[in-house]
Amino acid sequence: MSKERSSTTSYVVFAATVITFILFALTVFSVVMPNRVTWMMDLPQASSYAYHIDGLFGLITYLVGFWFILSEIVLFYFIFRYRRKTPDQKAEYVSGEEPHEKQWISLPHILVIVCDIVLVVATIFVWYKVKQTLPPTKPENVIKVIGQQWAWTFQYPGPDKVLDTDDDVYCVDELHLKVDTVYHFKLSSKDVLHCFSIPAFRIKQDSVPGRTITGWFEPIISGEQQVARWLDGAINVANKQLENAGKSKNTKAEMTAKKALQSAKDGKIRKLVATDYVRRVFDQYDTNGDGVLDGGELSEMSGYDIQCAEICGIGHGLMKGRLYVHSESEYNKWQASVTGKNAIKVSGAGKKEAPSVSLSESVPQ
Amino acid sequence: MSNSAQKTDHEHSAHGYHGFSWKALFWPSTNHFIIGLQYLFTGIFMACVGVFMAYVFRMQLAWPGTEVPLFGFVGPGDYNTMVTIHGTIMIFWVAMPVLIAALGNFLIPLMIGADDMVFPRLNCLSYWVFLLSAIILVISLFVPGGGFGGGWTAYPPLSADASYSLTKWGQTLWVLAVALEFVAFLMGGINFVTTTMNARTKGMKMYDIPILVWFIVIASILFMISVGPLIAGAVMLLLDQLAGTAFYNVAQGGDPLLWQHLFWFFGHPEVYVVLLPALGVCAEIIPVFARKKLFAYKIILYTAFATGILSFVVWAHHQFIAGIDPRMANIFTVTTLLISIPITEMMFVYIATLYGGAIDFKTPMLWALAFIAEFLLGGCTGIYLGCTGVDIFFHDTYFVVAHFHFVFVPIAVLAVYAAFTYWFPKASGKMLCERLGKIHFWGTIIPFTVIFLLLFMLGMAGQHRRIADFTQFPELVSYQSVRQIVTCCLLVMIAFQTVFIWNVIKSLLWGKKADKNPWRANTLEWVVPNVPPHGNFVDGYPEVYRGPYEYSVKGREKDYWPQNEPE
Amino acid sequence: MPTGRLGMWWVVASEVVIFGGLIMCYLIHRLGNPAWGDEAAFTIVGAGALNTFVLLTSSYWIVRAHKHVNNGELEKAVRDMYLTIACAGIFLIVKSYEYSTEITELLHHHPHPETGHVIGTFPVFWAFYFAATGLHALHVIGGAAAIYIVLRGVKKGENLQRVEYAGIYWHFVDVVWIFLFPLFYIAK
Repeated sequence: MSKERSSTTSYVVFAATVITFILFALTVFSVVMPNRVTWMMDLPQASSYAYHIDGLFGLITYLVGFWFILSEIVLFYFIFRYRRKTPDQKAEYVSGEEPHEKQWISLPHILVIVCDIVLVVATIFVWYKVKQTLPPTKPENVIKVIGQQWAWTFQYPGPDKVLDTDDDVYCVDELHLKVDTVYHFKLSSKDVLHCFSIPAFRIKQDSVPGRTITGWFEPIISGEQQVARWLDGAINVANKQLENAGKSKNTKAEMTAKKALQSAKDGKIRKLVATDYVRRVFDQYDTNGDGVLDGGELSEMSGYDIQCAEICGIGHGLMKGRLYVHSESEYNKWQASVTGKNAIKVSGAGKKEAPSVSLSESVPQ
Repeated sequence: MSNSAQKTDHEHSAHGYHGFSWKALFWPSTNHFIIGLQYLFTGIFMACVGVFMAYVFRMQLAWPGTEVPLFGFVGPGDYNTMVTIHGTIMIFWVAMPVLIAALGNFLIPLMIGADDMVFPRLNCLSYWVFLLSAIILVISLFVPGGGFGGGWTAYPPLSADASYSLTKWGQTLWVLAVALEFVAFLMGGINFVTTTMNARTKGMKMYDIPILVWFIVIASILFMISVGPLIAGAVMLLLDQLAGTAFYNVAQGGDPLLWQHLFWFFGHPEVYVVLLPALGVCAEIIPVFARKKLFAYKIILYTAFATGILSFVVWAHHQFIAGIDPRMANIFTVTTLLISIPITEMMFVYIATLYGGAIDFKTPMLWALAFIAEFLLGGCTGIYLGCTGVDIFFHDTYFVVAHFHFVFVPIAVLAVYAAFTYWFPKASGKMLCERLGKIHFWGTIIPFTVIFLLLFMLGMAGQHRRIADFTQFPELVSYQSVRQIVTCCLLVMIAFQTVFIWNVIKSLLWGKKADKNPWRANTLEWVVPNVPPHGNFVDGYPEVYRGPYEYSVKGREKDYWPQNEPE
Repeated sequence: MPTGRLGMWWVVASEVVIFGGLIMCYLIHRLGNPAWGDEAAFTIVGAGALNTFVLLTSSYWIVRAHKHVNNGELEKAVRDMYLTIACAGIFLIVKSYEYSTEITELLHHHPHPETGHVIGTFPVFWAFYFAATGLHALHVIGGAAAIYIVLRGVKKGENLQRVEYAGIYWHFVDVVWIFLFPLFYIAK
């Protein structure tokens, strides 16, 4: 008798160990390790923590998805199996109060709790990384983000690398960043609640009037890298088309493929050789409508959206910004183009704004 | 097939007792049946207004900048107002009145064997205050400046300061309407709780009370406790709007986040306030059509209590990135994931009730089963939003919209249709047409599922909320065809509701006369005559001998055992 | 529990959460805003103390009224209920005096005698003060009106149980003031 019981116990312990190991491995695989599988449609994982957030999404999908699918299968199975086939079909009498009946609820219940614990650990890990840490950075990489009805103002330290001085650079609705650099943003609002949101980075933070809230991000994909990737894709497609045209002895197709290949090598993408994402958005970015995405159009395409994600009045839908990530050399070129003798003087630049209450810092610890 | 005998049947029931008459619906009445119907019809009217608003803003989203038939051009202010009032109406003037006030008023006295509520005049007053609140809300749409457009969440400073919102009168009337609605439901709540506690018929012990009654009582208690701080907050918002106070104005020492805490401290229990009656409806319907005892009655009750208590400690999951201390977010993510557990258990219990059953797929059962299938998805997607890490990305996106519609539509639509089709024979004395019912069912479920599955996808693409024209956002332009499909599905879904309306009219006029207990159910409301007369149990109060879910009891010939049958 | 009493406790419970919410908000804000001490300088503690005494007395009268009803002494009960209402009237008169002086002070933007600090348009301390005491005063008026209606019934010998319920409500109104007085007058 005790031998039976101990073998049942050992089975239970074994099963528990296996399940724990599976859950642990799943968590590490999804959330901690770089995992470039993105669920978020066309959005690239453009910041250093984006894959953590996507990974957490994946983990939740596996765990919750398991229970969801299981429940729906059981539900539909019961619906099918216990449907009334004859008018006088008898049903069973199950009160659900007996222990052997209750365990069908209690056992899954306990397993759900275990899954929840795993999710709690994983989400605290991701949240801590994004919202409770502030990786150090140089003062020149601190940007003020000011929301107002209905525009975003970005204030850069400028050539002297110090914020709130006379040479600060102000951009409206346009943010330029250097790749692989940790940035701190100091977010505030002039009037109502806004929300600074960059889907490609996966970051969001409400801006509260009267407070400065600090956050961070590190862009990891530059515009140039994206464009290079698209061009490579175009070249591959063009080569393949060239090969097929050669095989089928289609001279016209061969000509078009050669032309497209040459364009791609010159940094332009023709619609014919565009890869999936590029093809989907081709017409949107082909502003001159010539069927070719040239350097300028591609570079616009490689930007990311900045949104306001908190309703802020009738112009809430106008608070669109655009973000461009540059390599270091390109960034320096951009900075030169907006400072010094290229700058447009902004009145009152560099002086701290005069709010009616002193700004208080709210920095994640 | 107009049958004059059947037509006058309905008028017959109006003679002799002043129970039901169409005229009675327009006058103050202290009769619970009339009051329930008054709430129902007001709720239905407001639902039409809310659906119309959804139609308008979805048309704008699908074809931005074009004229919407029956409305005109949708300006940015119009769009925000449509979205705001749609949400406000659906929660406060549709879900609550229909699920709590209409069902509660109609069914609680019947189900516990009472002749009416214990405070009939207060009950009457609660309806007329409610009606006043609805009128004020509708008026708020037509005042100078237009209706309030700051989201149903009404965050200040936008909602407190007309120089930001540009809707000076609209926002004040909005707050007033909501506050009055709260008062109406506080008054209604007194009746539900005291009647259930004190007016039960002989023999009905605590565990013999039908789950629907329990759940409406618990919902009323949850509502009462959670709404207090928000009423305080609403008073403060009104003062900010009208008296120049600065409760929520940072420049003068206030804090916008205070409103958020007050709002969501109410807002989260509020979703359980509407969820519980919907679950109660399913708890009544599933046993009847599966001919099976409800699985683990006590577990259901305890999970409801647990959910209710837990619902008070999860509110800040709506504010993870709102500027609260990030450390606090960790606490709320734990409580939020915790609260998913009792609800999961309840879902398992409902599914377990089907085991070994003999399921008959009448229309009410279809709706109740669909509730479970769809609500499961809604609940599961809530986990994503409850996890802080993922909420950073999903906050204020269409993922949230899809999640709450996947829980709210089962609550406010599926469960309501389930209840309506189930108790229609009792309330009207006629049977609804099954075929039309099933056509309506599929024509509602399928578009609904498609719409919101697509909206999940859009949320994952980063599409954010309360925006009138997504073609302005380069990352979102390519999904315009998805938005158009969603709008077309909505049009299909709206079109199928005409099948329901026709079914009701047709059945009221020419429908088959219903037996007193057409579904062969156990609960006491099936004891009274159809179209309950004044005083309900005109043949004497029933005495209760057992619980409400004794179906297919072994050794008995009948597969049901009404609560009031001695043996 | 008798239905009427249950109903009244429900009303009291819902009011507790309303006032409780308001008071919690005030407390949290006050703790984060020590500067409000300046703003609160001209609350009239004496008037507040007098009102506390008046309200407590009124509660005493309504308890006596209930006792008289139980003993069948209806005229004495009616008299005591009139006294309760009279106390409520005194409370409101004192309150009106307070409000008029305080509002005048606020409108004149007097600088603080020691710090010289001039308060802004509508300091949040005062916003809370008027919201809380104003809401309370409305409940005093409502409660007094309710007691009057019950009193009319008692005169005719009807609905005697309502004296107890009115008493419960009145005690609640009293208890709220017991919280408001220290918060807004003493610990400001």
